[in-house]
Amino acid sequence: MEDSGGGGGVAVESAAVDISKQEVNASNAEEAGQVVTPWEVAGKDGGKIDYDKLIVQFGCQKLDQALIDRVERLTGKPAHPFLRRGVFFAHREFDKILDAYEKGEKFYLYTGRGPSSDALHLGHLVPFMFTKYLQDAFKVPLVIQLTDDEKCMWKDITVERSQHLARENAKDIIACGFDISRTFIFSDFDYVGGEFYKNMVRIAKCVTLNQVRGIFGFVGEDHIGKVSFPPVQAAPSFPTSFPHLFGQRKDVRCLIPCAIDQDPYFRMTRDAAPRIGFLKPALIESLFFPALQGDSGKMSASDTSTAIYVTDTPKEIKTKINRYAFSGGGDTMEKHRKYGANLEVDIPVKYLSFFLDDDAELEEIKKEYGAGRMLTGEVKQRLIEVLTAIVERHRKARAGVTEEMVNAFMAVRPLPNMYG
Amino acid sequence: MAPEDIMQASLKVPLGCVTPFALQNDSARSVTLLLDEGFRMKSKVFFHPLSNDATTAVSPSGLDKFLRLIGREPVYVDLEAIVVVSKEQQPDLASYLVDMSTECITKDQATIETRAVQASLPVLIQGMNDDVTKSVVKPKSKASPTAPQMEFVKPAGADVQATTKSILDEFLSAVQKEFQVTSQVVEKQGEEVATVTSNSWRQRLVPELESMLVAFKNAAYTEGFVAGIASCSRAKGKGQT
Repeated sequence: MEDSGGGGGVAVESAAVDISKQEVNASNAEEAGQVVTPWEVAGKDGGKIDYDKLIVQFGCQKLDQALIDRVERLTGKPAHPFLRRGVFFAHREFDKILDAYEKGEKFYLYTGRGPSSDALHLGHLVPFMFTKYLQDAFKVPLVIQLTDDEKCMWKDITVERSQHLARENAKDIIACGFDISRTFIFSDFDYVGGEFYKNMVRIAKCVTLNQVRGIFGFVGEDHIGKVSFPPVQAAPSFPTSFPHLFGQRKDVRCLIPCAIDQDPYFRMTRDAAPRIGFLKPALIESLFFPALQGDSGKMSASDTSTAIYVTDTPKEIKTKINRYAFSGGGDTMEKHRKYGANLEVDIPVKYLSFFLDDDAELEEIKKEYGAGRMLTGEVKQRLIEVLTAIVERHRKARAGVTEEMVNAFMAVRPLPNMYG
Repeated sequence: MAPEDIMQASLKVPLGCVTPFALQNDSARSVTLLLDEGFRMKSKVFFHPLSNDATTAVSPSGLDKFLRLIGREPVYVDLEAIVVVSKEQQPDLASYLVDMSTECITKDQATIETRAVQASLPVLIQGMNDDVTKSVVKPKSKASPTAPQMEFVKPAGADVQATTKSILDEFLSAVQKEFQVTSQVVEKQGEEVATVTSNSWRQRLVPELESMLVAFKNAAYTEGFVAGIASCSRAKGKGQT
């Protein structure tokens, strides 16, 4: 069943299983040419992703200014730049979360990471930075899932290696500044079992093989581990999966900040939820962080020149930006002064709109650069400053994360102050 | 005392023989041991016994066992992490120091030292003389602190945002007073400059301060967590539940 979140805002909730709309959407995607799944992201003909088409294709909703204003009003502080600048641009039922919050009802946050390599880049940090803002602004607890089992299966690495990567990634996640008194980090290999597993089975019973084929593109040759994985990523959406946090309560809503390619998992989850007596999780979804070389897809952890890593030195950041960041500036000084820069494709400006907090300064740069009065080198210089500050702050924080701290974050323990 | 002399006096091993095994000596009770995280991934780690004409191989878990038997908790740190170090930013390992709160610590006494115990790495810190009883969080503020930072932490829960705001309010009001005093010639201009500067300083400092404070909070919680686990297992060991 497809949750029609678009057009008129009327949510059609039907218990009948209707996969035909999903299949139609899938074939539309083929015609549209762009591929967006949890395991592959590519624009049409290698070009840039059309996010408006994606919203229509997936059936989620655009996050409009009214919602952003409402967030500012409810939290009493300015909205995060990622909201103001349209980095988090789509949602499913985020308005319901705000309704609940206004009424004093509790919700919790759920996000996660597939620990696929030792190196984290800035694109990986984006959802965590935003989740931290949500945690601080709304003062709510957070569960973070490390899908080491998924990576073990998809990347064909050993169980032990994936567990090691999970712990290493946990340190970078902790370095993003999550509050240990409100945060529970868990790895699937450690945590799956008990109530969590019971929910996995309940969810699994609601999803047919045909549906996962349609949603995730599984084929006959795929091993059965892959086919049975989706319920693992769905189960954290339900509070009873965490009895040490929520006991048996089914009425605690869940908000999931994620990149938009994760939408299929949660469409499936939202379909299953009412059938097993749970509230549907809400989603708030982001664009992809562009690669240094340009717009056509996601950053790839396997090609180090496409991304800025949290382990890069200031010198490396400077080199990468100067050498690889795709510039929308004119080919020659004369052309640039005359026509200005193409802000649509310029990577430094795009990166600044992610990470430069000061709205006024960003507008000024866009204006001056777009008119040709400011040069690419100057924009890159500012970007290098901004990114270096972020990476240095992260590195400092990361240095302070001990094995004991990871153990504490990952301990199955109550969080008595989680709404304090 | 020179570092080499301290080493020989407290660890009781000759030069070139720094080894965790030396910590069994009572004279070494004030020495903090920091082990490189890289040890944990190896199947065997090698150290000198108490002389350097031999080498002993142990597994990482064996090393942990030894340390616990002599009353120490193994502490692992990423010694290869690159940390920005400047006059204002001392290497932030003070939290690992052996608790000597019952002993008198003065700046003159170099009784507390931390050393990297890995043969191939240079010694990390020489005689950290910072007052170890203060909070490890040091904001870049140059304003003379009117009270130790601890005072700003609310008793009911450690609220990072509220504490950041308190520290900044204190600091920035001190700065603004400075401005008022020094720019009395053009009074009106002085006030405007102070407000604008205060906002931009706030923007610059808030992310840094909040990051430091949340790290501090997490570290404090972790210490409590470790203590709780240890206390539970001691109770179990004694036959209580």
